[in-house]
Amino acid sequence: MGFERVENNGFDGSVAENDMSPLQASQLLTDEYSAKILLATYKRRISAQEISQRYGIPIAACYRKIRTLEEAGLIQCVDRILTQKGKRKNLYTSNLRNAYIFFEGGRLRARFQLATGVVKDFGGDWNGMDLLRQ
Amino acid sequence: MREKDISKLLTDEYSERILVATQVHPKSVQEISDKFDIPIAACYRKIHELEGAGFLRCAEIVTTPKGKTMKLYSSLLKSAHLVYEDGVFRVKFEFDGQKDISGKWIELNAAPAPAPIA
Repeated sequence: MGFERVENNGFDGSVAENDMSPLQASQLLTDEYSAKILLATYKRRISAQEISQRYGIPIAACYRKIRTLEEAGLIQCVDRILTQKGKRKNLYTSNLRNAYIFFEGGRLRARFQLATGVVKDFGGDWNGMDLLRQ
Repeated sequence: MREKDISKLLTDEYSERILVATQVHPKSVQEISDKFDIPIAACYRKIHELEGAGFLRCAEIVTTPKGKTMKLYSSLLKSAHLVYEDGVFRVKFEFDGQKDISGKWIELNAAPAPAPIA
């Protein structure tokens, strides 16, 4: 499981502090369109147009969500290819490897692990990583 | 209610605040609306949704000094875990009392078989 890897890396050094609230962070994942985009871009390169068609996301919402996810660093543009019509098309891929959102004792916490090895925590205190093994 | 709807309901901004607000002491809709800055109509709607989904229950019915009855709600949700690993979303909820989805990992929509990155 992804956890062992992180523990061995000694993630202390790479934990990034964030100004997003744990609620905002969790909404990046649980929003229907965002979740679909993250799945669509998981281990592949895909354009906004294609995501929109395959997953039934309105194109404007699709571009907007992609931008939000890109700003949060969860997906990135990996290529700009030329279409047959001569237009530029961005290809996106997901940077998110693992994500954990916990609500316990009236508190919400979120942790994102990115492909780059960076760990982003929201809502502090993630020392009790054994929570998952319960 | 479908599992996906449940996870959406849980992470909704107002639902979140309502569940937190009612975690320790039962509270009235009016009190939740005032203290947690939720429009009163939305507050009633969300509370009914949460009650229907089994996350909230009416703990007490009190009579106000003006003679009106008022319901106090308390949260039944003890914990919620959402995990995304290897392109799969899973959720787990734990409740006070008996509930069949309590403590079980539920797998949500998985990513379709990944195409290799060229």
